[in-house]
Amino acid sequence: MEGVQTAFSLKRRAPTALYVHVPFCNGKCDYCAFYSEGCDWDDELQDMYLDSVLAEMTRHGKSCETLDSVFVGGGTPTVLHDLAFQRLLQGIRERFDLSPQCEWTVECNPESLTEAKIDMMGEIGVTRASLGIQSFNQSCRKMLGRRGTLDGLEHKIRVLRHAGISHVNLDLIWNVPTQTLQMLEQDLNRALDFEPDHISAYALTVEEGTRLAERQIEADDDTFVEAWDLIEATLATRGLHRYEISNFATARGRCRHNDSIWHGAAYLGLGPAATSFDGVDRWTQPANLRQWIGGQDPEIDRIPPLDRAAEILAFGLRTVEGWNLVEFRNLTEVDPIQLRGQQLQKLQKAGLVELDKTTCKPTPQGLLFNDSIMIELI
Amino acid sequence: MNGLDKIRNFCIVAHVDHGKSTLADRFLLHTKTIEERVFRDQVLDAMDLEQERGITIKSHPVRMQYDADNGETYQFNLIDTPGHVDFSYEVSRSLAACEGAILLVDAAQGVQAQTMANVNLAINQGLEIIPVINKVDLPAANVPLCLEQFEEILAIPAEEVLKVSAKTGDGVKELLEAVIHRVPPPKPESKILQALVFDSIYDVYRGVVTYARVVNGTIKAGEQIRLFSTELDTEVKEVGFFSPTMKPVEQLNAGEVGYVITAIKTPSDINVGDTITHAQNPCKEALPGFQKISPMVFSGVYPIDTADYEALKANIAKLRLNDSAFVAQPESSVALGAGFRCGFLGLLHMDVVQERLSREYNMDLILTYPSVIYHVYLKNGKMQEIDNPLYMPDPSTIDHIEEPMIKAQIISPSTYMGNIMNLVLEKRGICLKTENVDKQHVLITARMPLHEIVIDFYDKLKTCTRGYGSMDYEPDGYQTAPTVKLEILVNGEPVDAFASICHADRAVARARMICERLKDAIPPQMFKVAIQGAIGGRIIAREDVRQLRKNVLAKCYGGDISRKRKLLDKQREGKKRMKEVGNVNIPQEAFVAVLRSNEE
Ligand SMILES: Nc1nc2c(ncn2[C@@H]2O[C@H](COP(=O)(O)OP(=O)(O)OP(=O)(O)O)[C@@H](O)[C@H]2O)c(=O)[nH]1
Ligand SMILES: C[S@@+](CC[C@H](N)C(=O)[O-])C[C@H]1O[C@@H](n2cnc3c(N)ncnc32)[C@H](O)[C@@H]1O
Ligand code: SF4
Ligand SMILES: [Mg+2]
Repeated sequence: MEGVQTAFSLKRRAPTALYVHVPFCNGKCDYCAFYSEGCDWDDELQDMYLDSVLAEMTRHGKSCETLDSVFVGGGTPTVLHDLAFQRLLQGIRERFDLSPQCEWTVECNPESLTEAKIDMMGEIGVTRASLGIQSFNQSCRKMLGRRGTLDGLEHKIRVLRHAGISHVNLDLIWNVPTQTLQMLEQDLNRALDFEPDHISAYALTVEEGTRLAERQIEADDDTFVEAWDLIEATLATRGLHRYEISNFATARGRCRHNDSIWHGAAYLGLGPAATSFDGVDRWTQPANLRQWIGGQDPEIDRIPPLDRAAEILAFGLRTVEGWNLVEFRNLTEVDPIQLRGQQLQKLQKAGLVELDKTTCKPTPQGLLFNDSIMIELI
Repeated sequence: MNGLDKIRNFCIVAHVDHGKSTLADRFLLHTKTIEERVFRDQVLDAMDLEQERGITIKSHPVRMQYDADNGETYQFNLIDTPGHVDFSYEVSRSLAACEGAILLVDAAQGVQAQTMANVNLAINQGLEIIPVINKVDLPAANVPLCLEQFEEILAIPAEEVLKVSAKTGDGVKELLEAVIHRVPPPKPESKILQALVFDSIYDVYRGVVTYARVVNGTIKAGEQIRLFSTELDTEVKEVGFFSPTMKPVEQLNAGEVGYVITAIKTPSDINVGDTITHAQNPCKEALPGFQKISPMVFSGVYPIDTADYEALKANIAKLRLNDSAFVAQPESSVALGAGFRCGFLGLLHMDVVQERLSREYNMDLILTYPSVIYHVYLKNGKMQEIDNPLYMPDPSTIDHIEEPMIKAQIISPSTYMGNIMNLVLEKRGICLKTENVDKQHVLITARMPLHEIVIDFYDKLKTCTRGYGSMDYEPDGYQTAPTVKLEILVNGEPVDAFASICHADRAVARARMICERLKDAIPPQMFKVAIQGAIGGRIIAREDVRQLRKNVLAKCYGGDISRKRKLLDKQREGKKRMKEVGNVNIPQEAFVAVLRSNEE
């Protein structure tokens, strides 16, 4: 094994996916630990951000392959003022080579998603909008400290589709304290009424440093498994099936961007707090706008190649399909069994992983115990 | 040098905290043995632990020159002794080096259990007793009641009792004078050297330092001496006395108390209680020695972090140099790794040893459930002494088991008599006798299993007498008792560290308690895991570990995985400190939680 360790190396790959982080929001939601400036910004700062991010694009554009996916997230991209929004999308279009079928997602907060922005998105070629709903229930929204309203949501979704943005995702948060199974079911049905081809349903995580943590709110896991099953069953009635721990889609509605990242794709991340991966190393830009503009170095996560390969293996097991063994070998040049055979067998015996000649994937129980799989594999 | 008639050897004995060390302080200051400048309270309690806890653990001899009212200067050899029952062997050794004893009684507390015990020891050794009421300055002092107790229970006439305050110094001068008049001077009977070894310590710089009372003859540096019992000959390097630090002198004379440093390097080569004589012209007979003391309570001592084993080993070896009552043998546990089976005189002793061990290397220790020495009679007629559940023979081979008993003397205000009787019954004991100490206090004599004393009798006694009850005890033979080995199984596998020997009637309650504690201390598991208490394979208690129903992070995209990995690394680090039993990782806290001593 030691021989393998020293001899083994992973190949660096050119990115096929692009992520751009927009670090502005209209106030911070109580649960959110993503990096963004909640109120300490103005148009001028947005312009400075754009100057820097466009410069980055120019610098890195050439080193990318033809992109299969672009994801503009945040923060809240839609709080950029119109010109900045336009420059951002246009900049991506101009500086990168997007494949004809390239999936292009923009994260949108309903209240700042104007028709003007929708038009720009449509014109420049955005294919997918991800809308942060979190909950339709007022008391849940209050518990979450979720800002903004959902007024005019139906109309906005119609306009999105009209503008050619055919893929729509709705983000929901569940396992919110005080939320009953019935309330959850109502949220799910409300979301389904908009006929999205994708729903992300995240169990609430109380993150360190958030207002939720400050309020000493704790997620109550009593009905976790029941809710987990309820979500799966309810969404399936309208053709949305779980393909990752928290993600559900129609057959053609899966988010290719995230799916590729779970399966070890190389990606370029631009903007503060954005992470990049080249198949060997992972690095993250400073989670501070001014430091990032100032050119501070990213933090590099470097581990031995075999450990990285094991991590790629484990990461893929977040998805329902898991790994095709050939696909994994093509990517890393190592066989999963050779890499973590003993651990995989243990997980198989524990009923968390299914292993056969062609695939390695989590069992339904394995999805619920993904952390246990991770501990074993990485 | 003082003539024989100018020498007085005496010790101070009393119940815990009645003020022995404080009175010694007063003596030392009065005789200017120690300067005000360097003085601190209970100056003879030299160990850190003694100072911190405010208790005396070892006896401390000290020599003073006292200028008496009659114009003469006397040599006083004083020994301060510990008051706690666990250390009573220290008291009896000290008494052997003296002709007299100052018996202190706290004016507010009156006669207590160790007062009685110490009076009996002193009388048995034929010592002159100077009865003293201390702390007369206290507002709660009740001198008349104390006097009544002296007469009633100790048969000491009230006129003989002195009253002092070791705190203010009141009456101390009179007490010093009384020592001259009441304690007889030593009376050597021969010129042939006979010195009684009444203690020995190991000094890092000086090696083995032997405390000796020269009964007959003289001893000086350069002489060849012989240890009577082992016939080991060695050379005297130095003799001297404590004042309070070591002061070398040319020779120690008959009647004097001091120290002897020889060429002997190994503490175990010198037996406390042995007689030192000259290699040339040795004495014909040994002085009466001491009864060998042996540990009564046993427990496994393990480092929480297995990496601390070597440090623990070194520390135990060091401690044993100065504490012959503490025994230790290497032992290993599947669950806890390498450790030691240790024997102690009692719970305080165990506590003190544990603290001294953990203190020096700042290591956390786990002590397994304490056991006494059981006599296990087998069907084949043989008897085995068992102090460790691991070695308990198979139940099918056992005919019956006997457990050690003690005779306890309990003194308490009469109002709590009912409570005490109930407690004694609850602890499987019987009351043998009750006597009046005075109009308000009783002395109860009871016979009880030692094991109950070791567990929590003392705490319970304090509780049910609002802190006023005191107790002394001595071994009192063995008695048949239905005794079992209780095993605890996790996921069907016995965890050796949790095994214990206990009374059959107590087993179910104890098993339940452990199962409940374990249930709380073991983190939720993915699978159903049973925690069971069992006697010889029969399950008597059961709890299930809480079941983990999910273990998943909802959101994990690009950068999250780096974060996640670091988190998992930390968890894995924590897992290293867990012990795997029956496929279940038991955290160290679980061991600590289960083995913490209180039974509630
Ligand atoms: N008020 C008052 N307090 C005293 C007197 N003598 C001692 N004390 C206090 O009683 C407590 C116990 O005193 P020590 O001298 O440590 O008692 P001890 O008998 O040596 O105790 P052990 O060695 O543990 O048995 C201390 O807090 C002393 O300050 C006294 O005459 N008057
Ligand atoms: C990058 S975030 C924010 C996107 C966008 N600004 C919005 O608020 O809709 C994407 C999604 O992550 C989910 N999310 C963020 N913090 C979360 C938390 N602590 N627990 C569960 N889900 C969370 C929310 O559903 C959110 O819509
Ligand atoms: S959830 Fe979205 S809007 Fe709320 S603070 Fe986070 S990024 Fe901003
Ligand atoms: Mg003392």
